[in-house]
Amino acid sequence: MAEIDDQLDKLRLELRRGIVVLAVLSQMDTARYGYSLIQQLAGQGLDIEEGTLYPLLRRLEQQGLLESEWEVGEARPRKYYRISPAGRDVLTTLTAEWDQTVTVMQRILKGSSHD
Amino acid sequence: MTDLIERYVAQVGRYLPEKERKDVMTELRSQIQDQLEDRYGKTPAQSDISALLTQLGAPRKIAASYAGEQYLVGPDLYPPMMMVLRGGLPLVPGIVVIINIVSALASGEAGDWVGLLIGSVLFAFQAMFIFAAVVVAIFAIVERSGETLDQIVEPFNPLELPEVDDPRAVDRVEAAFGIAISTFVGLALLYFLRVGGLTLRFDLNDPGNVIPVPVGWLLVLIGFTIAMIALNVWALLRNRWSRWTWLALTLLELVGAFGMYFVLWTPLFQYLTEVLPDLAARFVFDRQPFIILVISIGIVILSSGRKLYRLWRQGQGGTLSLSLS
Repeated sequence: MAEIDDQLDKLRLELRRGIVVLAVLSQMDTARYGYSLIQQLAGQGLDIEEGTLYPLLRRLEQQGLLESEWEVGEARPRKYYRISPAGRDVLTTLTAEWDQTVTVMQRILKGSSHD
Repeated sequence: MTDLIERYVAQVGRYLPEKERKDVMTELRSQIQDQLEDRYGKTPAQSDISALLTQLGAPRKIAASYAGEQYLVGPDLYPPMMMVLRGGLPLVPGIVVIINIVSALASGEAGDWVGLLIGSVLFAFQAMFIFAAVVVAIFAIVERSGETLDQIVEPFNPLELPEVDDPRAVDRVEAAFGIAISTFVGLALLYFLRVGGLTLRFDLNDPGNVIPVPVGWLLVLIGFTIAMIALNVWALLRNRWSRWTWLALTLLELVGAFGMYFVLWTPLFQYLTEVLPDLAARFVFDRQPFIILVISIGIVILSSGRKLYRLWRQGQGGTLSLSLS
């Protein structure tokens, strides 16, 4: 049973991997720092572990999809991220892909439940 | 409060690359503090910090997430590397034991059989580790040159797949065997170069009785051995031989046979003639190197010639279906 749980965890992780990128990009029109983004996504029902999100923000920045700026005027220095023009293009394409995937998957899953 | 966070962040920093270490550490520190404040207020207890850091994960793991996926030899090259290791590793102990026994017989130390056995086993282990390390290093270098490799290796085209009985097909065991043997020979030759000649005692501090050999030929042989490894790895990666690569391999083997004549057989039989004059008179030792050279060339021609002939025929629009299509 533990083995199946392990497998399920891995499958769930794979399933979420791409979704997280899309979810993050979709929230970055407003400049946000790491923890505020976690709260923002959690508020909408998507829990992401800190250990996943913080490195992801840096990776997206390295890929040119996000831009960042250090804000030092607050209680502690915070790095704010915001979507870049290239990131916006990617978001538009990914959103269209996502809509299509959802439609197709719903059709497939519904179909399979009737078999 | 600060102390535990600082210790955590410092540990993460240890595993990060220098150029982004400071930036990641500053950001991580502020993210942890944000989270702590939100959950436990401005003065969290030590146990609260500890719980939060536990949830964040071990510093090594967090640092690994920042670094992304990293590996010495990636999934593309792992199967051919394992094939070379599986093909080559079992051969190493056998070769080593034979070398050790011949060495003992030649030096007249064969009386101590227990010592010889223990020495052989230890030597075999050592050689297996060296062999494995060299093979992994070769593939790691190929892995690092990944981008250039993608540019050089032609894109996959199903129509170019070798026929089932196509001479271009790479016999993976043969290629793995070739890499294994060449690596082993290359290491031995490098050792000979280092100690200044032939010896059967593989100990840099005490190489024993060294028979001098022509350094020029030794260097040629080392170069050829590296070229043979490269050709075999190349064929494995492309999954096919071309007539030019096979011709190159055959020529390397042929010239290599001459190299062995000058580097190995001639000095070895000269030495044996000096130490065993009676035996030398009976078996005409001065002719042995030439006989071995002729046999080696014969073996190369027999083993590679047929494939070379078929590759050439195919290249000239021979009978195989692929060239007709």
